[in-house]
Amino acid sequence: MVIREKGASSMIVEGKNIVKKYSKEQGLLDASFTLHEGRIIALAGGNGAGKSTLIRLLIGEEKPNSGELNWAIKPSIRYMPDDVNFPPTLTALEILQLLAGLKDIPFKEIEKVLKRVGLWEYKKQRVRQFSKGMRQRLNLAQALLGDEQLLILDEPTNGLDIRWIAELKNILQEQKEIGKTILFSTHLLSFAEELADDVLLLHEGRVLRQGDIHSVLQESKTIHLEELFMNEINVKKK
Amino acid sequence: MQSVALLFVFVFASISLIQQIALPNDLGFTRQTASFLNLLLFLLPLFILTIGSMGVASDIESGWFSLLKTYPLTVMQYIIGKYIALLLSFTLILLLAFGVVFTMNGISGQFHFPTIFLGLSILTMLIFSSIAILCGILAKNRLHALAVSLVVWALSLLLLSYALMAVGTVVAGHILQKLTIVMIHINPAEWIRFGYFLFSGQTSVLGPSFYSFTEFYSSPVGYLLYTVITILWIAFPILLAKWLLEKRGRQV
Repeated sequence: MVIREKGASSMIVEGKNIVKKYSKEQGLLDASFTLHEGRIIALAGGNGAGKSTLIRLLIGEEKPNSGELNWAIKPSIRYMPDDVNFPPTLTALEILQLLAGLKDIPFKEIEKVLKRVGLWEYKKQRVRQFSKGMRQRLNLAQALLGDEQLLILDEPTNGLDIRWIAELKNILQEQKEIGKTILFSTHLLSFAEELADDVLLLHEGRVLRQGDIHSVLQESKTIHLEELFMNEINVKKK
Repeated sequence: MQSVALLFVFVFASISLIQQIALPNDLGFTRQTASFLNLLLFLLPLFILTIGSMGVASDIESGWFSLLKTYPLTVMQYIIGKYIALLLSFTLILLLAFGVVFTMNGISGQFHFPTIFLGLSILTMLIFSSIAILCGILAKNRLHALAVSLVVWALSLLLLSYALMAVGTVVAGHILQKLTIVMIHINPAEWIRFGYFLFSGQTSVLGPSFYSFTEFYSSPVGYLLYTVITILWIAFPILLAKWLLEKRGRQV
């Protein structure tokens, strides 16, 4: 079911009956969806819902077994993976310099993103000395480098403490304000509800609901995504 | 990497010292130079294969390579980057190891070090770094990369030679000679060893039955062919690694 507000922004990508199977029950089993530009989109669902699979398809790391992925105009994409171990002997600054060097991004930009994620004072510390939260912030920092139109973040809250989850919301809002489209995956439905404009709710490889969050909640006569999600999966069980 | 460098220098210097004490020091292809040749050919590929392959496998396993792929970096640029990094690392390690060995020799005043060993070391690094990258890409994780590289090392340095010796006990001499020539071309370690004999003018150690073979390789055309095959030994594993990595990216 797709629910959109009137006067909504233009489409960025459309997926039609996307299937990407790893096993009988793993992956995306039959997903159709539309994502719109200039929005913060939450790709929400439980473990094994197919969130990371969809992200890998969008960034082009994988190809679907069947179905179509139609981009309006293929945007430049910046990606924050769910699980990356940076080379442990390098410092945060060296890692960002290496990555920025691949895109001719000036040093000022590195300084800006490191300060934004609170790692500037740890810039000369080796990554192996970083906590999980600091590594995740470094991961976020590399995703903020450059001026790509579409920012894709796979489980960005992983390892972050309460303060940095709040900061993450601010950072993503700032990115939206400068005209970027943001797609993030999460299994925290309350986080999705607080931050996102649109939601793509997945369960066991299928799309449960999609569209503007408020409209989706209104339509389903629920107050929170969690309630909607539980209702939907209980209906499916029956 | 620092600990690997220290380990290599320690093992290399220790064995060199033992050889200096145990073996007579004469000019030409002596037991001492043979031992030094074997030492280089055994130790250097072992370290390059294990470290190089585990480095690549670690990049893939950790998600670092997947992240790099989202930047404007081609698979070939990544592979060449890893190759050059491996070469530079082992150049530094070898410089340190030779430095220590030379210092020991200077103190004892005993050891004769043919400069051809420097060329041999460079050749070993060029060829085995390329094979190490391929081993890393063939592996699923770091432990698997270690296993793959150890198998490749054992095949190249030990098992193929033993297999040839075993075959030699049951086939005629002229067949064994042909098999040996084939083996020299298809086994990188034997190719490097043969290069040492060729460029140090000591091909006679192969025996009179290899006269026409060594005569050919001692000619300008032979040198050219040796260079071409060496380039193939460097380029083929790199190109195969690129193809495999791109194929894996398409399939995953």
